[in-house]
Amino acid sequence: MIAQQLVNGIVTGSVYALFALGFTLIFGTFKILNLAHAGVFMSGAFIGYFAVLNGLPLWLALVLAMIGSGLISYIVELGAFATIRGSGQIEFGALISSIGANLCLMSLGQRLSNTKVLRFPFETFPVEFYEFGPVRFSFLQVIILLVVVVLLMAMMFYLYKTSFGRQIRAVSGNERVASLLGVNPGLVYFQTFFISGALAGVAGIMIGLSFNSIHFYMGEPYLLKAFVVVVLGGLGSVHGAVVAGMLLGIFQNLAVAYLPSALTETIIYGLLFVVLLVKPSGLFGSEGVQVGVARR
Amino acid sequence: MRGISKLRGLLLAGAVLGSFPVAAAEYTIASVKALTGPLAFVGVPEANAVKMAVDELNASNYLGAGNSIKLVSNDDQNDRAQITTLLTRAAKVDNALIVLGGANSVLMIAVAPLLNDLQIPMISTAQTAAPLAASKWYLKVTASSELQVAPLAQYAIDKIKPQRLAAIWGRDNDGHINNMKAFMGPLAAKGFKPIAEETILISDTDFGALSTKIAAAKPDAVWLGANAAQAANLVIQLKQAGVSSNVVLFGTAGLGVDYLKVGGKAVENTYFSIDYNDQSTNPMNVRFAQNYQKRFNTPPDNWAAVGYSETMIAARAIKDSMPNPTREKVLDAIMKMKGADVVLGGGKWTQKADRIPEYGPAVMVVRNNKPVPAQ
Repeated sequence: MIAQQLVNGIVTGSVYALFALGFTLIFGTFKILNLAHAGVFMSGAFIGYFAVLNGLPLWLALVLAMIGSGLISYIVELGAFATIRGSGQIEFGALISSIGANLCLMSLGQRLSNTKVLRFPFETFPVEFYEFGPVRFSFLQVIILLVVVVLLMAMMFYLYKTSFGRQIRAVSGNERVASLLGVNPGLVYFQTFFISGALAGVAGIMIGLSFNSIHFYMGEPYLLKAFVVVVLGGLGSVHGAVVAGMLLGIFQNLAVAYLPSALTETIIYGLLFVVLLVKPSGLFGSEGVQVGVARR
Repeated sequence: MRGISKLRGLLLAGAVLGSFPVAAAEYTIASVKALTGPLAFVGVPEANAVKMAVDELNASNYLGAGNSIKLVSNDDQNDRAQITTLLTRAAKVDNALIVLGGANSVLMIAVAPLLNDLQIPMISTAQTAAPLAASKWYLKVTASSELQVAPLAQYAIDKIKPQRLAAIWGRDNDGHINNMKAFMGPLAAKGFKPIAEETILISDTDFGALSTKIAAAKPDAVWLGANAAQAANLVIQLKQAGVSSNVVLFGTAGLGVDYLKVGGKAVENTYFSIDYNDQSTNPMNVRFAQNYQKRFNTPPDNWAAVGYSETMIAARAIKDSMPNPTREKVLDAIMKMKGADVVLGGGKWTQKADRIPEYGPAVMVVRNNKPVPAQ
């Protein structure tokens, strides 16, 4: 059973990483805790669901969900963050305004779904299973893992190997200096929020497909897990989010498998507590230094 | 002569007054349900059905020509402080005769004592019977876990005889916990010991690890203590993890339309005691299902049926209290109610002395994605 649980954990953890990556990207770049990320994640799942329901193929639904949730994320930036950026209280102000934005998105989702739990039609994705010795995995799990790996690599490339990525990192380091050097901060905000939202949108579809469940409230439990991933990996650390996401997925699966399931959450948050005690900056964070994608 | 003219004046005044209709009376029912938050999937269909029922009752002049029911519907946000405020408002501002309460057992236990202060009856859809002890004003529309699940447990003992039973239930829901105890208790007393006992949260969707664990235990039966869509999702993941397609599934009364819709073929062979049977040919059920579908563009689920039924019970209590209904009279009418027309169980709702109602939930089994009576 342990091999099977490891496979389950890696797949679950990869989706956690995808979700948390967008969350940590915003925090690392702008020092904002974007709690509306849960709503954007839910929006992606809804866009994908309605696209499939209207006869579009899944791959196109995935693309639409990425674009749609990317744009929604940027709308959140314009509505909830841009308006208060000059106030000097962006950290606390953003916390509250992002809660508001999240509630708006959830209310919209509630309206659209009439509070029902939705699911992709049965024939949306082929239900095929493969068995290798004691391990059984589905075609969907393979695809999820592939999509997540490709997206993570693409994002790493974008952030660290392109001029756009350098601009994001420059603004993250010092927006004023970056502006003087010719970087357009508005474009950086757009790119960052769009990428963050697009990743959340893909994660939403993956969760919706994997667990047969699309619900206006679906983002909340993942937001809590994203906190764990981000803190565990190191605030603002992209690499840390990926590793911590995987670790959390594996740890959670093993905890369910070998311990009473009622203790799973206690153990996860206990682990977080221990990490904070031993290494407050997280696994990939530097002590005493505020970390971000710019500080690489 | 003067006496005659006085009499004539009185007669004239009587005739004039008599020519005006008697002032129409409006009787208020307050609905306090979770329309947002994690329990909105229960509260919204309930509130929809309550509104539909009130409109139907008013259209048919149920309380007599000119009289009507006024519905005041509010969102309790699944929040204790909000419920407290709304109950107070229903009693003191809206002057409601009765409150149709929410489904969260923990919150109902918390607010039941307040009903004593406000002296207002509240009929709730929560499964727990605990608030009954805290307030005589608290009433239940659905049966207790013991009543609902007992026939299913007996059926399992007599007919299925599970040898490798796994139990999974929501640990953050009082109803699911009580249902599990009501099911597992009689089986344990007969020597049927579970091979696995696992818990989940209402908000959980990822059952991959749990399913793998359960599949490794090779159960021949599984108890599902979860809400309809979540239970269906759980079954799909259990079967994907390798649980036999022949496994017998047992579930709570909350399963129904959504369970079948979300679960598809995976939920075949599920036995459950049902509150609302969407296949019922009872004329009231047929009319309810048609009207609900037409109005809300979706078939009614178990919660909608519960909301519709509680409104019918409240309306009948007001009618039985006429003329001049008061909260005390309404409470008394519900306490004495026998054979009220509802869309639950067998279609007749009767209050019992212990304030736990009876309406004849039946044991059903899913065959070809439809619930049919279990033989």
